Amino acid sequence: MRRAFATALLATGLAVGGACAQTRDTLTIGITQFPSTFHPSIETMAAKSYILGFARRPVTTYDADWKLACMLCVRLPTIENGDAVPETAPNGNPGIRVTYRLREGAAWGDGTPVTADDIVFAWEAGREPLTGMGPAELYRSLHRIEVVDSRTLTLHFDKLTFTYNAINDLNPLPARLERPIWREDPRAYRTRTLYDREITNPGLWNGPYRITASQAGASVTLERNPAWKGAAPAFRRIVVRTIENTTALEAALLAGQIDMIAGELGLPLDQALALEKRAAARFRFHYQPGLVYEHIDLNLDHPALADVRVRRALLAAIDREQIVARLFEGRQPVARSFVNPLDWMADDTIPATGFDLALARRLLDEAGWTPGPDGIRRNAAGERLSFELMTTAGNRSRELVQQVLQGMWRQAGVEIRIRNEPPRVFFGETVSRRRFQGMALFAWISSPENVPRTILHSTEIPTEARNWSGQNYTGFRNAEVDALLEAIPLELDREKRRPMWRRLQEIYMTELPVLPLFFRSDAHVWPRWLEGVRPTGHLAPSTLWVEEWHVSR
Amino acid sequence: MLRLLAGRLVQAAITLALLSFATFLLIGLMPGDPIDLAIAGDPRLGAEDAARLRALHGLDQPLVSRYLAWAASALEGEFGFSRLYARPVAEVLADALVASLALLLPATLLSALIGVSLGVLAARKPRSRLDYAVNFVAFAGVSLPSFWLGILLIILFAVTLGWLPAGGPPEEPTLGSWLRHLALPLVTLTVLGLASYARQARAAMLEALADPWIRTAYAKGAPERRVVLRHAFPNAAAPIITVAALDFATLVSGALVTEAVFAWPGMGKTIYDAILGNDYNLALLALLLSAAVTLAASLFADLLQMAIDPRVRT
Repeated sequence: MRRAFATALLATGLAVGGACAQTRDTLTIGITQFPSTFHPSIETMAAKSYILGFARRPVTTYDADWKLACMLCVRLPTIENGDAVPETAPNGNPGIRVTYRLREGAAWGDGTPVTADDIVFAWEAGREPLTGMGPAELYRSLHRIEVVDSRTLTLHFDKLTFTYNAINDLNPLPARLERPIWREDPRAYRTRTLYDREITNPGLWNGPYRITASQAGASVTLERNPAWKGAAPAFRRIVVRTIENTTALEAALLAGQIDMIAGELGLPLDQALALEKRAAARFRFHYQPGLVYEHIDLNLDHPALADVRVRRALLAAIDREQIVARLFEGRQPVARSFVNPLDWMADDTIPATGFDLALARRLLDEAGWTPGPDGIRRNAAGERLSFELMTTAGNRSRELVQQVLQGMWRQAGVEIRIRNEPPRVFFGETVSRRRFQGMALFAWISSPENVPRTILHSTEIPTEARNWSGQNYTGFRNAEVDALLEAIPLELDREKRRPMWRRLQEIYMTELPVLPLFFRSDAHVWPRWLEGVRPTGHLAPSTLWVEEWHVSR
Repeated sequence: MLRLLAGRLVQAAITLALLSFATFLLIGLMPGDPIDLAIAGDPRLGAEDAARLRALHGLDQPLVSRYLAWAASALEGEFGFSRLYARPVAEVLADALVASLALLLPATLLSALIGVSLGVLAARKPRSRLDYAVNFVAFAGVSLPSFWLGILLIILFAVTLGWLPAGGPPEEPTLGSWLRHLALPLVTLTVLGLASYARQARAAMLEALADPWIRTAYAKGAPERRVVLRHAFPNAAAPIITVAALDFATLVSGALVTEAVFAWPGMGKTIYDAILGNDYNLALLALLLSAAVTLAASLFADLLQMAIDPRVRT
C-alpha cells in the first residue's frame, strides 16, 4: 500500500514537473482584441501589430529607445554614410534616393529568401488605389524603385524630409505567393489574400515565429520558424488568446490560463494597479509611459474659449500633478506639451503652467468673467461661464478624470456640464465634425518625433468641403505654427530642428488650443520567470524583439 | 394545414425583407462610417485617403442603392465578405453558430428539463418547503445578472479552486477539454435559464391541477404520477412551449454577456461587433438568420400546440 502511494506521489511529481517544463516551453499571452485581418498593410490595428511582431520583420522600425533601426536591412541608409543621396524629383521638388541592402539569410518560412522583389510588390500593391490600403502618402511619394540585385534596392522619393530613411510601413510581402492573387483582381485582393485565407502558410512569415493555427476571435498559435536565421527565440510555442472583457482577462491570468497580459492591449491602468496590490508576489508589473497623449480639445469657435486668457485660466485651475498622483499613483507623466518627455525634442526649459488657482481667478477677472451669486462667473451680458465637457462613455478612467476636473474648475467659478457619448458617436460624428460645443477629452497616438501637422495646421480643420478629413478639431489657426509645421519635416539636421521644435511647443503652451493632461502608460503584467521583454511605448510592439525574451535562470 | 403553412411562409418572407431593409437603414444611419473610425485611429489618413477608401467600399453611394445592391447579391446566394473578419460572412457565421450551439443547446435543454421538473414538483404541493425553495431559485435566477454570476463562478472554480478554466474555447479539440471549458458558461446559462421555465411550469401546472377533470381523475383512482404527467401536464404545456420556442431563437442570436465574460466566440458577440463595426454584410446575415429562426420556432410552437391541444385547431 505504502509502495503504491509512494509510486503515485512520484508519478504525480513527475507529471507536475513535466507540466512545469511544458509551461516554460509555451508562453500564453492574453490580449483584449482580435485582428480583423492579418495582412500587414491593410488596416492599422494594435492587435495585428502585436501578433505580427512575432511572425514578420519590417525593413525599419523605431526601437525601444525610440531610435530608427534596421530590422531586415543591413545598415540604416543615411546621407552621411552615402546610402542616401538627395536628388531632384521628376516634379522638380527636392527628392532623395535611398538604398537598402537586405540582410543575408532573411527568408520566408518556406525557405524562399526575402528579396527586393517582395518590397517592389508591396509598393506596387500599395500605390494601386483599388487595393484599398490605408495611408497612401508613402506609396505616393515613393515614385520609383530600382532593383540593384536580389538583396539591394534603391527607393526614389519625390520629397526630402528628415524621415527619409524610415520605411516602417513599407512591409515586404511574399511576391511569389501574393502577386498572382493581386494581379488577378486588385479590387478583390483584400478578400483573397493568403494572409486571411491561408494564414498558416509558412511562406507568409519571415520572423522568428510563424502562425500555425488561428481560431477567429479567440486565439492565435505561433511556433518557431525553421527558416529564421537570427537568434533563436526561447519558446517553442506562443499562444495569444483574446479575452475582451478585462475582468475575465484578469481572472484567466490568476487562474493560470494565461502567463502574461500584454501592456499594448491589456488591462486599464487602474485595474492593473489594483491587481498589483493583490498579486505582486506572483507577477511583475511594468508601467511603460507611451505616446498616447490624453488631452482636452477646446472648440475655439466658442466665444469664451476664443479668448486665450480663458484658456490659460482653465489650465491654471487644474492640478494635473494631483490627478496623476491620486488616480494613477503617479504612473503617468503629466504632459508639458504635446511632446512626450521621452522624445528627444521634449524641452524642459519651456515655462510650464502649473496649478495656480489665484492666477486662474485673476485671468478670468481680466477677461471680464466675474463671480455670480452661485459662484459661477458671468460676463457683462450676464452669460454664465459654462462649458460642455465630453468624452467617450464607458471609459472609467476618463469619466473619473472628468469628474475631478469638474470639481477643480468649479473652484475657479467655471461650470462644467458633462455629456458623454459612445466612442463611435463621439469619434465618428461629434469630434470629427467639430460638433462638440466646448471641450472634448480624448487621446492621440503618434510615433517618435511626429510632426503634428494634421492636428495643428490651419488647412487641416475638418469641413464638409474637405470630406471632414483633418484632425485640427479645435479650429486652431496660427501662421507661425503653420510655417513651423511645414519647415520642420524639411530640416534634415536634428540640431537645427531643435529650436524649431522648441518654438512650436512654446506657442502651443502659450496659445493653448488644447489643454494637455498626461501621457498614458501601458500596464504590462509578466510572470516572474519571464525576462527580456522591452516595451517601447510607441506603435512598434515589444514582440518585434521576441528573440530577447527568455526564462530567468 | 397546408394553407396555414403557405400563409405563414409568405408572411415570413415579407417580414424578413422588411427587416433586412430596416436593419440596413439603421446601421447606415448610425453616426460615423468605418472610414471615420479609421481616421480617428490613424492621423496619417488624409482627405484623399478618406475619399479613396469611401469610394472603394461603396460608402459614397446613397444608402438605398447600397441596400439594393446587397439585396440583389443576397438573392443570388452571395452574402459577401465580412469587413471585420476578412472572410466570407457565411464562414464567419458558421464558426460562430457552432460555438453558440455548443454552448446554448445543452444550456437550453438543461434549463428546460430542470426548470420544468422543478415547476411541476413545486405545483404539486403549493406552499410547501419545496415550493418555497423552487420559488427562491426561480426569483434568484431571474434577478441575477449573468455577468455577476459568471464572474462569481470564475473566481470560485477557476481562480480560487483552480478546477476549471476561466473561459475561452479549448485549444485541444478533445471531448474532455470541451466539457471543462463549457462547464462554467453552461452552469451560468442553465441557472439563469431554468428560472423562467420553473415559474411558467409552476403557474401553468397550478392552473391545470385545479381543473375539474383532475378531480375526476383522482376520484376514479388514477395514481398521482399518471394524473400529473398524463392529465395535467399536457394542459399546462402551451405556455411552456411558447417559452421554449423563444429560447430556441436565442440559440442563433447568442448570449452576448455570457459570451463576453467567458471569452466565447459565439453569435451574440459576433452580431454586437458587426453592428458596432459597421460590418453590414455580417450584421445583416446574422440578424436575418436570427429572425428566420425566431419565425420558424414560432411556427413550430403553433403547430405543436395545435397537435397537443385540440381547442387551438378550431
